[in-house]
Amino acid sequence: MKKARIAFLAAAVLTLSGCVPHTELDKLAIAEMVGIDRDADSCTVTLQYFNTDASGGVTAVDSSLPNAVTAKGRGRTVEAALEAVSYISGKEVMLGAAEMIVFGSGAADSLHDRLSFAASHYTGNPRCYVAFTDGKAADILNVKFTEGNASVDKLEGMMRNAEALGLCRTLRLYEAMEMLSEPTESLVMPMMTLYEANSDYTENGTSITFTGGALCTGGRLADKLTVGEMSGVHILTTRGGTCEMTFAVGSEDARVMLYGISAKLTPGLSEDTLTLRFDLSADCKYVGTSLTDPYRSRDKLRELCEQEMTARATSALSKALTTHGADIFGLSYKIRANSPALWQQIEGEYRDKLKAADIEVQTRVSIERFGTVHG
Amino acid sequence: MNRETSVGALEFAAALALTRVFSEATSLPGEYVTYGMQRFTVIIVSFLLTAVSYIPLYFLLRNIPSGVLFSGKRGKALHGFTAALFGVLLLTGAADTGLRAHYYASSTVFDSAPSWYFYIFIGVALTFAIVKGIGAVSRTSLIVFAALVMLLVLMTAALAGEIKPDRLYPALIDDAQTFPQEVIREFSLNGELLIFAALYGSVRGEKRVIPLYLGISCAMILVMTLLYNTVFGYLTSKLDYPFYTLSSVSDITLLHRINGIDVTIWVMAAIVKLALYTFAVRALAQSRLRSTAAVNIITAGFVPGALGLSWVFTKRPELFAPIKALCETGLPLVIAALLPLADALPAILRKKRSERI
Repeated sequence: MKKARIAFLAAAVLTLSGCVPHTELDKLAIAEMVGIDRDADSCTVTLQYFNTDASGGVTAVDSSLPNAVTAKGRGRTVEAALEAVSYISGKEVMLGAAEMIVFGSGAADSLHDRLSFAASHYTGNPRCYVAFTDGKAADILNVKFTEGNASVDKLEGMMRNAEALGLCRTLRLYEAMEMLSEPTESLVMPMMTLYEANSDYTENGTSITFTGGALCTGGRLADKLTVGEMSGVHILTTRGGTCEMTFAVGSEDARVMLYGISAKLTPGLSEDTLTLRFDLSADCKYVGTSLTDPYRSRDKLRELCEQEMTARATSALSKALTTHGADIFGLSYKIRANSPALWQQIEGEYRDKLKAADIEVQTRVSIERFGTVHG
Repeated sequence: MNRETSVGALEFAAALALTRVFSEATSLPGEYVTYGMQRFTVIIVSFLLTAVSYIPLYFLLRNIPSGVLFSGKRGKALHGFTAALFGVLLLTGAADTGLRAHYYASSTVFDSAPSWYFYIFIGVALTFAIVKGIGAVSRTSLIVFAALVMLLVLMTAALAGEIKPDRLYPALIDDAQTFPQEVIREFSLNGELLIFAALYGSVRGEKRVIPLYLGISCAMILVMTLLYNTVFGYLTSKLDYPFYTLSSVSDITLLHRINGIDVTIWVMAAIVKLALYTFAVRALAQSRLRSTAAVNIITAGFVPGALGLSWVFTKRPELFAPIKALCETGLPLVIAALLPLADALPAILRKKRSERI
């Protein structure tokens, strides 16, 4: 009797599993990258997805059976455009494996709403990267690297390298949603630009490079950041990150890597003006140098590093805070952690306080490693 | 209750802690976790309140033998009324559990399945759990609880790089107006008091259960809140299921995303909690009724009753709204804490008086 009871219960669980509505793997469009463009009255979504029907291709880049294909859909909203993609491709769109969302130049306003298609859906990948292009997102997805379509893995790698070099600050979906929830609703996305490339790299003669950032605040695209300003954002927000710089010391060159970068903020209020003092610090090592005596040149080099770090950070702070009152650095957390009383005083007019803030940046770099070969 | 079929204090405490954390991680629509240091104070104060609410039960434990709640022979009508009221509270708690599990599952991985399927699946698993008995359920819950602890450790390790301590700030209360309401709402999530009140007779070393369960669940909820605040910051207030999102963000090379484990744990926790409610109803029925058949009918009827009620509330949320509003006042828990004492107090006093004579 006991065995029969268990068998009945087990059979019920096993047979009922077939009642769940589900989609077979070959009917899924497994999104790898999503491009979002917008014109006056509609949204265009370009989807690069894994083509399960082509899994028999000779190689991963077999152009007769591409594993990554793109499809386009239009609609009033991103969600509607995705439905159009689903209809056109005949597959159900699955967002769980999407690694990157790219916004075209006309689509970077109302980001909170635009991102909700992925952020509020249970299959959305909160770790996927969010980026911007100063052209059309569809063009980014259409770049054909010689190793296949604009492979998201390649773009991810490029973005991580750019961050390691200190040229940009990467942004993930959940971080974007978090930044859009902060008091000034501001974020900065890394910006990609197309350029004419050597045909060895791409099939259609265009490739992608990182050219700064797109600053969004108050629900709209407010400004663009240069590579130097984006590097400043990276320096101010990284925790122990790296940044490479090249300097001319006399007639010789030295390329150095700053590592262990950190930024300490000391906020204050002086005669109703918010004062923000940043103390930046980093260690430095030579990456490559033609200096005859790197050890003797260390003081000069340290001075150059400090000047450059200060310049980049100051330009980023000036553009974001003074020009737009946009807190893209997460300063509100630090101000509150430092002084809840000060935060209470400025919370109601935070953006105005940031615009009028008195900003000071101090930098300290130490050089301890001199490499193994010199001159 | 037979001592041979009883469960250990640690197993039972783990089961209660698991079900308590389940209530925290699977919020109902409209129940939101908020960002800020006030949340930590709310949790600590609500657990202190919960500890206080166990005092009447402690008093009972000291004065009456285990497993005789609501079984006084005199004043049958009064005892019957208190037992029935307690039964209603158990039914409401079970319906709330079913509803939480359903909303959570249907908002995450179970989004395209019909509601009835979910309740049938849970019902079958629950029936199996009840057939296996309280010992098996407690042992299972210990395993699920261990999995939850491992998941929490895994998530903390995976998110180490994402944790930003500067999102914490020195404050206890951010908004004095919302604070009491939040404390009471948090306190009202402690339905385990009902389970313990009915089932403490089945536990070996029952006096150890309350401190163990309160300590473990409070610590776990505080750790979860710490992760929400330091990883998501302001975004915490906008997340319906922050623990699920946290597990989605946790990227572990081998497992990639671990939100599947999260869903498995909470569905198992829901089954454990519903099973414990069912055992509680059976204990209550056994204390009032001599007929085994009647006890079995009530026990067997409780499962479809609770799940059916959850299903009705799923379809007609407006019916659940007043019950939820009442539960969030914490009043049902206060009644649940005092009811066994009120029921047993005359007998205890009589016994004490006769001992003195």
